[in-house]
Amino acid sequence: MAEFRLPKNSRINKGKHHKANGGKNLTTVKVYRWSPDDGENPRTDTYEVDLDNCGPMVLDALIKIKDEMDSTLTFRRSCREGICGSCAMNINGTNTLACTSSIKQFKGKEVAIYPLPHMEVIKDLVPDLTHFYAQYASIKPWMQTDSVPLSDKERLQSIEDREKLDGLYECILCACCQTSCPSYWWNGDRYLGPAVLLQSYRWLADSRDEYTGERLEDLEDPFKLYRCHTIMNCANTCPKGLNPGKAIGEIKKMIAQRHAL
Amino acid sequence: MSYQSDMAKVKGLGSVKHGFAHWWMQRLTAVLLIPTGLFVLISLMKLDALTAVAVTAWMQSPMNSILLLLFLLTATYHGALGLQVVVEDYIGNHAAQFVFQYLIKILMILLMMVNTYSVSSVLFG
Repeated sequence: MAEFRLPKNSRINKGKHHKANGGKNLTTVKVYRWSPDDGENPRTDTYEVDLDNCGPMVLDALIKIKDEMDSTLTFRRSCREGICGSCAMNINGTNTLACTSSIKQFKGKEVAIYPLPHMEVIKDLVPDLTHFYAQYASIKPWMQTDSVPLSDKERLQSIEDREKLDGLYECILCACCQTSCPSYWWNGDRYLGPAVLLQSYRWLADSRDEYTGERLEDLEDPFKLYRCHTIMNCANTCPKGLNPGKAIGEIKKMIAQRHAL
Repeated sequence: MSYQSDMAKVKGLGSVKHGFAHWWMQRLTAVLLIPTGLFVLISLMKLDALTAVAVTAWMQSPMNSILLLLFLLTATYHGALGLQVVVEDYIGNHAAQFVFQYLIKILMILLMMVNTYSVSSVLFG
């Protein structure tokens, strides 16, 4: 059931203010904090960051805060170049990657950072993505075939067929789109969500895969697929510039073809 | 506490292997509502006055009545399909969902009967 207020133990309190040790080019970074260990409500801590001594991206500011101001701050990060998807978080209201999001774009205004919305929080900016990963595994994201390939040959694909995977294979599974989708917020237990459906279409569009029918059969469900109401937050927020909404539309078209339309 | 695996939770009761018909009918009726709705709207605007006499006279043409009825039945069906989605989206409680889905279907059938009876009683009245 849709809930319009956060439960009592999830309401956010005002947290600590951490002043910068000098510096002229200061910006305020507000960060959501919650720890499972202290029984406290979540809070937002603010940190004054000297941009003259900080890298250009939001992730640089977070790393600076953790290194120099507050080592208890917890977040995921790895590649710092937008390919691993670890540092997906909600920055000033938009789900995006902290490592490819520049601080400059906010023009000196406060940068507010929250974990990806509507997911259970493990700690601070770290959401629990277990269910998302299980959903991804459920679509069997690998090539399925019945025919036996020749032992000394690859499965061939034409240049045209390979091009059909452009705009799909680039998905890094950061879950920005998944957690920006209101349909996924309300029915995430059953709706597969934009990221998983885009990945699903990546295999449906692959000329080498031989399980298209089985994949479509598994997707044709009022909740798994048809909860997509083309809200398009997914395409709006994708830090890689992909369009999961379009991929979902293509799946619906393929199912229509199965029904001889 | 549940020891069910994450995969078991995701797979749940499995795919029902339908959902296309609902999606298709929603789009089909939406498209049909454009010409029929425009026809009814423009026809009524063209009348000299929106009096019972003028509208009754307009409805006594079989073509007008049939298109009006097509519009009313399509709008009712389209509305019922839309309400079904709203209930599926926002009502998580199974018992409440069953009651609402049942009421929507009954209301749809009742409205369709009232539509048909009202238009035909004026046409043949």
